[in-house]
Amino acid sequence: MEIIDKIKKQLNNNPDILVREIIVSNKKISMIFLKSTIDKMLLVQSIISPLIDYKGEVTLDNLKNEVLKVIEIEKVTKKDFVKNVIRNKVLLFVEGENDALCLDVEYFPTRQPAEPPTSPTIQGPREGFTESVKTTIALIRKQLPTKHLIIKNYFVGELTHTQITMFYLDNLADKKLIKKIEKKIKKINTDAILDSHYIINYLSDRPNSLFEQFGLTEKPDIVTAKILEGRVAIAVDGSPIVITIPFMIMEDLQNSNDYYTNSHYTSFIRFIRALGIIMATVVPGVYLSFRLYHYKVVPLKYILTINATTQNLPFTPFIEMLFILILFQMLYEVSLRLPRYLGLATSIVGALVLGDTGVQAGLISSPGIIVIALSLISMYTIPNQAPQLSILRFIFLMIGGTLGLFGIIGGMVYFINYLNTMNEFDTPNLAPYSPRIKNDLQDALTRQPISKMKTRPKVIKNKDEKRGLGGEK
Amino acid sequence: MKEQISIRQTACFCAISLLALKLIALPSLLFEKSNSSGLIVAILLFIADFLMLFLYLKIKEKYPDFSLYEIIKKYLGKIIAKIVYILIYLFFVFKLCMLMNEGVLYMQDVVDEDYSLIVFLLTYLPVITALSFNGLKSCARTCEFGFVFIIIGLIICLFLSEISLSFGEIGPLFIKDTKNILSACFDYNFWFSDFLFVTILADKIKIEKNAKRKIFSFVFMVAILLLILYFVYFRLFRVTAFLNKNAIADVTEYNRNIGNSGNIDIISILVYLFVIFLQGSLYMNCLRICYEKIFEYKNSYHSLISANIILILFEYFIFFNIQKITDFVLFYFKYFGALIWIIIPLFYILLIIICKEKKYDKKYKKLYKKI
Repeated sequence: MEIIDKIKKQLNNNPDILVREIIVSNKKISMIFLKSTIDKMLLVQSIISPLIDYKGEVTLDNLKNEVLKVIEIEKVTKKDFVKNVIRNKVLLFVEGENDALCLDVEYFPTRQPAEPPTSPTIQGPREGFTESVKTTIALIRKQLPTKHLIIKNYFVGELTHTQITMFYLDNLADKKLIKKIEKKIKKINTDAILDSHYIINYLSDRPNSLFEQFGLTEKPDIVTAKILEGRVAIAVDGSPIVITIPFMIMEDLQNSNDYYTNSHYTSFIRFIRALGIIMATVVPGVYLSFRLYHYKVVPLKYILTINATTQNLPFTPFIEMLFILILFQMLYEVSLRLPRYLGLATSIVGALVLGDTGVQAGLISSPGIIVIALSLISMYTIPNQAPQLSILRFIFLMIGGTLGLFGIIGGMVYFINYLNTMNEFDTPNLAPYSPRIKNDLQDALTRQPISKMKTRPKVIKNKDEKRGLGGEK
Repeated sequence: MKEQISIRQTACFCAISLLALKLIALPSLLFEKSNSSGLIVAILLFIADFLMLFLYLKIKEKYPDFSLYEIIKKYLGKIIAKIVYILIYLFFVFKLCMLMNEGVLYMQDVVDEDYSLIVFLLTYLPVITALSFNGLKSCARTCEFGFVFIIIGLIICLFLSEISLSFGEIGPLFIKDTKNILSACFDYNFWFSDFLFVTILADKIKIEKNAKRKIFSFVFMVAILLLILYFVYFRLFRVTAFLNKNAIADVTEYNRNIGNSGNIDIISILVYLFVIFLQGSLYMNCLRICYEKIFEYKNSYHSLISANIILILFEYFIFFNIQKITDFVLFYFKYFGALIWIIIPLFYILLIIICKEKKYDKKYKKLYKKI
């Protein structure tokens, strides 16, 4: 067939393009598809086999309505031929007809939903999204069996044609927010979208911002809970990470475990996480400033202890702390990149051998190592913000070493102000604390029992504030 | 972001303004002038401050979209409005200089003996300038965020200091000297008059229900905490109070090693340093707004750079230590206080009396009723 040759030519005669021809009732039927992305068994069982057995009149309509055992069939015209082949569909042509049937027997090797390594749960659902957006849709559908769930697809990327799927509840989500997101997605003009993180930059008003401005999760229960608060979720084919909008920094202090345990314990642990942020960012800087400039503030006993361990060091306290911090940061990076068994060995060599021998050799002090190690461990109380906290730790160490405690407080005030300037999708980043929204304090640093959380967060504009009354009508 | 701040944020600004210049040198100065009646001077000046705040809020209700500049311009003309704003600009420059000098004194006293003015300026000015550059709204939010920690910290400091007082020491407070009270009120007016910023920002404050009640609950709370601090200070140091120039640090020093677990005064350090940064950013915002009104054009770069240059010149060449600026204020600036304490309130009172039933007023009365 001439049209098949044209399609093949347009697709550069790549070796994975397959053309299969069958004669049915004296008419030639041709199929063209990418053999690497179709389910061969399904192709045989639901397309080829019924066609061979068919004895009636061969037209596209007859085949569509009476013969082919495929769920998704659609008649397409010439302009959509190439596009559909690229999107892993089977195109079926009948001799003498200009149109074709587009059949969905797509198959990709995908992994099964498993517990995401980034957010393990102790007493909650362990399902996680996979790289397939179909799985993401299925998992969210399973959690939200309501007629109000809206799913919209967009295809972005000149070369990748990546599917981006948006989820929201039409009886809750703010229309302005949806329009704004849609507008931004439609405006994306790029070759390729390979992961959720790619589109974050296009969605953000301040792509250069130091802090995260979007919620990122791999867990369907978290996404569902956020959609139920009036938020919008965005999944990208090829990425297990789902983006939720709008976002507040307080969300990173929350964890899915929090909702499956006692509310008092949750409140307590959230305070610990908040303390973790301070420990992770400012403690090395504060320690350095105390050692360099403000020893008066440190109790005498501690000064004596620190002095005993640091008096024979060859480096200045500033260089020493910088050295330890860079060393630990390198070890951290290495342990992430290396295969697991090697990572373990490197950790032992780095932490035990280098650290211990460094102290014994009198190159670095043990209080310095303790402070940096404490700071690194604290960072993982909120893993989503770990990269930002690492940068802040460096900044505060520099400030502590040069401007002292006063500089550190100034830096803290500046960064709090910086967070307050972030107003992505008209949602203040530090809400419900600044601006204070009394209603939303029920699930912020402290958490009320779920039965008492009767309203949705007010900071997120939504159509129905009360939980429970705006469901199926 | 639109430069509009909520009533709660205004209340936080008011409360922090009340704190900023009263934690360090003021108690010793009050004691120096009027001995143990210093507390009465403080109470009287607090009351006067509250009355002014009440007046400012009343005018805000009457002219919700007008700042002091627009009001003066409407009734007295543009030139007078500009002259008043130049004077207010100077007032905020002096306030910032005083704040910076107290900050340096505090740092030298508590944290590092060799702490220099240059290091202080290099740290302080960029931060408050950046805060002001980011806009009033984010600045107000930062203040709202920090306010809770400041108040909790202050309460902890005061509580720990209180327990170091023995009950036997709590006797009659206002002993003998009452003759210097009025002259002390006049001399130290500069350390008060904290709510003037409300008139500058009036057009940027949102109209909300129970505004006055919200603001006054915040400022009363802070005033009470300050009075407790002064009380503890006077009871601890008695006749030697005037020698202790750093009230918050000297009071918390009494509980330096509670339970032998470390210096508790780190809390007061954090509280004070947060307060001066937040207050500095408010003053810087006021300077920016005044500049924009005086020159009638909006350019944050110009207004903030000029404010920085003026502050550095004043601070580095004129008021390089706390004694210099205190002397200047006590000798000259107290007369300047008349503008804030007498002329502006008088003008506002006249406005309330004379312009009682103007059309403008009716329009906004309806708006308030809706809320």
